[in-house]
Amino acid sequence: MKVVITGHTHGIGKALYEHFQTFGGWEVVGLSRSNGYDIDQDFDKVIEAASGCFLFINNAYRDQQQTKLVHALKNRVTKMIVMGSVSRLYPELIHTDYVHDKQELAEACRLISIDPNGIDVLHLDLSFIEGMLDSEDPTHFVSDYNLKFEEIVSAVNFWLTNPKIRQMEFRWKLTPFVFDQLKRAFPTLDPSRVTF
Amino acid sequence: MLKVGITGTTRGLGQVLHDHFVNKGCHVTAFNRGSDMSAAAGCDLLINNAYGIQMDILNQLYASVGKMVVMGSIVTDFPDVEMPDYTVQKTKLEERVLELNLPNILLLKLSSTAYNDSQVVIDAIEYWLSNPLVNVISFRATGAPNR
Repeated sequence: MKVVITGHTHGIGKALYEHFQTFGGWEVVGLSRSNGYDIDQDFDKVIEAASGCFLFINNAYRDQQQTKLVHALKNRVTKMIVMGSVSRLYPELIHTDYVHDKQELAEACRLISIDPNGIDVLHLDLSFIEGMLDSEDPTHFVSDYNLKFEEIVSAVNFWLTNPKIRQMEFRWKLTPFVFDQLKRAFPTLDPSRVTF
Repeated sequence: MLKVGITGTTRGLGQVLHDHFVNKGCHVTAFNRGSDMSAAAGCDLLINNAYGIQMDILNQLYASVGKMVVMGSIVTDFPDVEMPDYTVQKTKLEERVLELNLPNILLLKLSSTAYNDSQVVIDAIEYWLSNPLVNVISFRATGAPNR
């Protein structure tokens, strides 16, 4: 069986790429900018490379490209796993294009899940991920609950044997320290929307 | 031995989960109509299953049980105009679980898929018991979007 993963050279994509490589029976294909598969600039090439695969892992983020990939591949792959974000649930808290993009992505997955002929799709609402804190990016923060790569791999494995599940949401909780960081980044932050 | 409490065990998912945990060798207590729910305090795991009293049980017991699984519904994503009371109750229940945001509570958003294949619900609960960072698991709809 063929699994195609976007953004396979670092982070979650890399962890999943290495995970599937250790399993027998999988042909693992990684698509990243580094090997000429930018999900924006090389969109048609990505579609061509992923079409017909058993499992497409829609991981790499670039503006609205993840959602476009969902629409382009929903009838061309057998199963799809989509990396979303819990931040989509807090649009009043964090106003960014990223949050808006992840909301659209979730909606695209929701609509497939109610299509009787729709493929199996798992939408993962990921929270903060250990080791991926980017101090230059104001939307990246640590929380009380930081996901490890192996927990995401575990969720993927679980779903492959339980495809009747359509969505899994990971817990997040902000610390007062992180809240202070958020307030600096987003002055209009509504404290009543934050759970400590 | 794991102490498990389950509400609504006379039929459906509650009955299946009761049998599952008994077969696992857990000490299982069934709570049905008329049961004294205060006896559930101290359970390692409480399955908050029986519809109609879920919010009361959540508020009464979330701090006094080890873990709690709350049976929600996908109607919160696909509101059902034919079942307005059910939709409202499940929506309030989900909002309360998310407001509490506690690491010992799992919200399962069930659909007819889950009711027709109870093994997937058992699998989801067992998965969560070893992966507590997951706080919501939703099942796919079958037939009508909200069923």
